[in-house]
Amino acid sequence: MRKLSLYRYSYVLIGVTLLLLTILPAFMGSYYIHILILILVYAYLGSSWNVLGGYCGQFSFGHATFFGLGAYTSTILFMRFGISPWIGMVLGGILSMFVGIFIGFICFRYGLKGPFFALATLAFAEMFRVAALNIPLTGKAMGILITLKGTSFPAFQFQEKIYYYYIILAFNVFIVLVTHLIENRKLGDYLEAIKEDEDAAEALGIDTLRYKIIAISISSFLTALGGTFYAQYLFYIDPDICFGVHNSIEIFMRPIFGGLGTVYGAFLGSLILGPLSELTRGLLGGYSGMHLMLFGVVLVVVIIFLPRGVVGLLKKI
Amino acid sequence: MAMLEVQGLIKSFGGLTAINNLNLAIEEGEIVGLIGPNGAGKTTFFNLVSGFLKPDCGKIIFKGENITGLKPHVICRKGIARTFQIVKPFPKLTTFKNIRIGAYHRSSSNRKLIDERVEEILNFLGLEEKKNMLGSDLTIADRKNLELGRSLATNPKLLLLDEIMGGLNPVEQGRMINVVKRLNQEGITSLVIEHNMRAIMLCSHRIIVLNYGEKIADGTPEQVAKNQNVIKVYLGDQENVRD
Repeated sequence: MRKLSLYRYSYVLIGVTLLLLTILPAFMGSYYIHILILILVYAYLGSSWNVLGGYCGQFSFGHATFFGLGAYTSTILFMRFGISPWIGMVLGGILSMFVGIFIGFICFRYGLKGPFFALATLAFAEMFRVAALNIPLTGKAMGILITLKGTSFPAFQFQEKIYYYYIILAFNVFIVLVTHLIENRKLGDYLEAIKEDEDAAEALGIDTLRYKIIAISISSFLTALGGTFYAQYLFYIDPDICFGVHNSIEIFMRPIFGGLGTVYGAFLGSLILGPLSELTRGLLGGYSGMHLMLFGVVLVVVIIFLPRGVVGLLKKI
Repeated sequence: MAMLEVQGLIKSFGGLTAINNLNLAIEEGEIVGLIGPNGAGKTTFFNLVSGFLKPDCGKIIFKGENITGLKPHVICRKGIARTFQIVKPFPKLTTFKNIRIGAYHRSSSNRKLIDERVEEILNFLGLEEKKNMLGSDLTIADRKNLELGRSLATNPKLLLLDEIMGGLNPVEQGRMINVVKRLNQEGITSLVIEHNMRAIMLCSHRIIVLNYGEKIADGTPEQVAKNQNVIKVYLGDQENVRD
């Protein structure tokens, strides 16, 4: 059964999008590049979340944990020991992966599912937030301000936004490739099976505990890398920015909007939601909080009418 | 040596004893029917053998190896596959993918071999035309078929079939009976739970009857059909019949 669908031309679309994303910023002002960078950061983070939440169906409400661990690890290592954030980023990823495995083991071993798993991950993020607020190493509520060194690749610092832009664009290309790899292999099939029906997956010989832990470890590692990027881009982190609930929500909103368990879902979601949130903020800036309300309404409408996200809609056309 | 041997199996849920001191053995190459009134403990027995429940007492031995209390995925890899009474196809995956998920651990990395095996199973069950349909779009007969296909993909030695003929019309039932018989010729031992007496009499070599978690009869279909205990369990005591 072959039908002419927009989705079949997806490779052309992807190529064109990538080309545009590569060329366009050269002609853009720094404000627009800033917006594009934020869109791409959350597209990347959403894609990382998607491995666990979208493919494996384990809805994490606490991915801020991993974001924060990445941001704090690289920042502390850089500020205290002068270790390059590039190395700190990988170390942060590894630390975050271990924490992810720990959280996953505790939750999945005791069969936490759905809302209970979501609440447990939220609780972990809150624990890290409160800890970061009270430990001198993390700068308590003051957070950490990263000292500027001027443009320097080893220090992951650039005065021009465009460098950050191309780095985060590369992150996105990387995660799309990783997600493609997962989707087209045994791992992807197994994760989807676990999402659809855990008992049936067990009965077919899938070690569901092991594969859920694999999913959370990949997801937490990747999320932490995004945390480091964010810290290096804004030069400032504090417990709320990193471990706050709003950050967890920002991370999973885009893949839900764009399409759970799809390679481009988080990217598309971010590409639509990012400008939308900027636009509503700009238009309704006079009324504090109004843009968030409008944003919320749009989100509710989309979730009700497009349960499979934007990608689901494209597949139908 | 029996393929599956169960010794002194007990499982209770609170005050209710679902399986009470059950002993049975299944030989290689048999098709054994497992029947009994509702609540007799048939599905509980399947859950115990496949590892979804842990017994309170007793041993389950598969091909000489004690598998009591192992996890379901480990038991599956040892060669026991089951279907579920309430079918559980992966609704958002295609028929092909549904079956492929079972096929992975046969030859863990060779994608081509795996896909060939899936095609083979699709052909065997007559599902090849529906291979791109989603699990949720299949009819009940196809879902039962798919459920069987998925367990076949795991390359089992022993199949536990939980009411795979329930909800099928007589023609579909006939087809399913043939499938079970053909699998038997290929060397797969089956334990079949079924409520449809005609079907179970036709395909089983031997029938075991459970009532309140205890075995009350064990023999050929003819023997079981004449067994007074079995008749009593299904139809009630003669003394209680008023004419």
